[in-house]
Amino acid sequence: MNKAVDTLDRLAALEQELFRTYARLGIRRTPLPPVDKTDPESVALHVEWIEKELAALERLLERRVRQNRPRSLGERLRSLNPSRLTGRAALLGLTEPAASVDPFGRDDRIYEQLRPWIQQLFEEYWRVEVEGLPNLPSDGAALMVANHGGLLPFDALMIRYAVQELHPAGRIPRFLLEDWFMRMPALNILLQRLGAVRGSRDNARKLLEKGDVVGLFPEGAKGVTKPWRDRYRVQRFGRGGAIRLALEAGVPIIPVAVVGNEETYPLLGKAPLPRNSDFNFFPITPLFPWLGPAGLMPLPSKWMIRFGEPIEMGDFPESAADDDILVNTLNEELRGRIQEMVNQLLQRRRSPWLG
Amino acid sequence: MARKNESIAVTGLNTFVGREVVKRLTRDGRRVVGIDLDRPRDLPQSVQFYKVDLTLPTSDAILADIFRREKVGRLIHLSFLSRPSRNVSWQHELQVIGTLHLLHACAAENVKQIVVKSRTMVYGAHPLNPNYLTEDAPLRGVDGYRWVGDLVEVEQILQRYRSRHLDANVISLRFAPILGPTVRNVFTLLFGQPAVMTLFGYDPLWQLVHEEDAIAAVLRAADADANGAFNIVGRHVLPLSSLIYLAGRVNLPVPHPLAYGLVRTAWLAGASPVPAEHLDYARFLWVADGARAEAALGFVPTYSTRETMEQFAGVQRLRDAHLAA
Repeated sequence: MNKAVDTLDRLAALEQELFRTYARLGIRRTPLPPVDKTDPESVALHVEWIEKELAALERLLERRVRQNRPRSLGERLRSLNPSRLTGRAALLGLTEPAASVDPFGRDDRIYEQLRPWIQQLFEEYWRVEVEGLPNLPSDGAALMVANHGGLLPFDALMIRYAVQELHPAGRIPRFLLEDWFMRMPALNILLQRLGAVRGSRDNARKLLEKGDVVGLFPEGAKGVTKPWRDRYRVQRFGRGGAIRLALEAGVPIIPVAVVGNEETYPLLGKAPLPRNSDFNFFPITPLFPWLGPAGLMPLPSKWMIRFGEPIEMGDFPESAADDDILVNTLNEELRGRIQEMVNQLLQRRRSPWLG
Repeated sequence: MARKNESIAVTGLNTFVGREVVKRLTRDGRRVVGIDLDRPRDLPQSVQFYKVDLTLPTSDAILADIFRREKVGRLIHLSFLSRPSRNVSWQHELQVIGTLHLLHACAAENVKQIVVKSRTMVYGAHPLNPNYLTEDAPLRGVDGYRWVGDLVEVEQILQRYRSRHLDANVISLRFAPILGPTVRNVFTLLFGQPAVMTLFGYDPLWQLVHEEDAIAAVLRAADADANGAFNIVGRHVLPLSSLIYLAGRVNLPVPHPLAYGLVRTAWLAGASPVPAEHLDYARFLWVADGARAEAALGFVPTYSTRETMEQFAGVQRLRDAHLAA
């Protein structure tokens, strides 16, 4: 008899604790399964259920604490784990080959190893503000189209971090690469293992058919190599490939505006290089080449990323992709929309560095 | 299925695929006519062997004669070199002119089914290749790589033949590198070396096809009602570095400006199994899409790229210890 009372007390205490934990985490309660308090077996089952739920919540809490706790500088540096990273010259194909990669060559370990660094860039260095994330659907294929700036594709990395870490569905977007990257030693491996694929129509179509979120920067090289005075002027959107892709696949386009990327490498000048060089020009920024390799460090600008409302493409007939005038019109509309979003963000950002 | 009294001609009996295909065809009770320069020692008794040098200018008439006499209805053409030769003119005579002579004979004797072994290498490794090359992709080859260039030429000859003989099934099977426990070719040679030279900063995705799957694909193609080119590839892809790791070899990355010069010299000196152009395949992507072979030939690979490499590595380890041939 006494034992049964004990169990009931324990049950009540557990329930209390469960509700407290729910409140602490600020998440919706999972409805408790029905219980018959006179039947010891049912009570035991119920206790077991609550314990399991508590354990799951504990893990969630731990993860949140790990992510949000204010940390000392030493702790932060340790979390970056430089020794582990240098041990991972895997990026250069030197050590620790991938046990498996996905059909397009993504190796998730690489992102996991770089995650603390990316997080540091995202949260502390560029202090990225994200809005409109729910505009990205939780499942099904979608095409994210964003403005591009700042020599190196850090904007892709920041968009990815936002989507993968902050969107509830935790989707891994895949970005389409400018052809130039495929020739670059080391960089081509790093970007492909992170999940980028060469920006060809075949590749993009295959990814969308798989139901992936595909990100692309239709400005391409024009976007990242524009001079400092043209910053945040969204350049011509290629020849409408993004629109055509979305029309053919019948997937929505999510316009994305990024602010802050242009200040990472203010391009003050372009020195010419020999014709047969792998590089089209030699970039001159406030830090590069004056500080040598250290000048490759991006500047700590204030970033904002806004995900716009999806533009549905399913309503057009499939043949719309062959209508060049329609494609061009839609393309220009999309560019205008992203330019407008960029302008709004710029107005809100009072200082490019402090935000 | 095969007509009762027709026979099936196979060239390249001394290649790995040729040997195995002939074994299985005779086991199935097919009448096989074997054509090669040398009679293999273990050739099944039931095979009618003809010694023909495909590079001879008059070999087409000889072949036509054989085809007529033996009532050849199908041809499986496998006499291609399993590794690049330094004798590029002979290599060209055998691979390209030899194919041409065979096709002359096929046209004369109205052979209705022609299966030719090719490689996905014909697409060439190129930075602008899509991740999965379909059969319609241009055959770029690699500039100056004659061994592969010959196969590109063969593919063009086949295409021309196809457009002129609409009643014949002309199938070219483009194989990914064939690996497995018993096959020996340029890739087993490269992955069998203690250290494999790669290019620093490049690690393209590769795919392999298992030797059993390769044989199965040829046998399927021999009786398939299909026409055109088909990629024959294993499941999944892996970076080259992972394959070298699985093979238990040392990955030796060399900066590419240096590597091309090194291999060129080594090739000329007879110390490298491949010319410098081969390095392109360690630099850029050349992975092919096997969907069409599945749809038209019903070919589904049993082995993945990883399993294929593991099987090769297992036997190679025994070879290293001189426990296997």
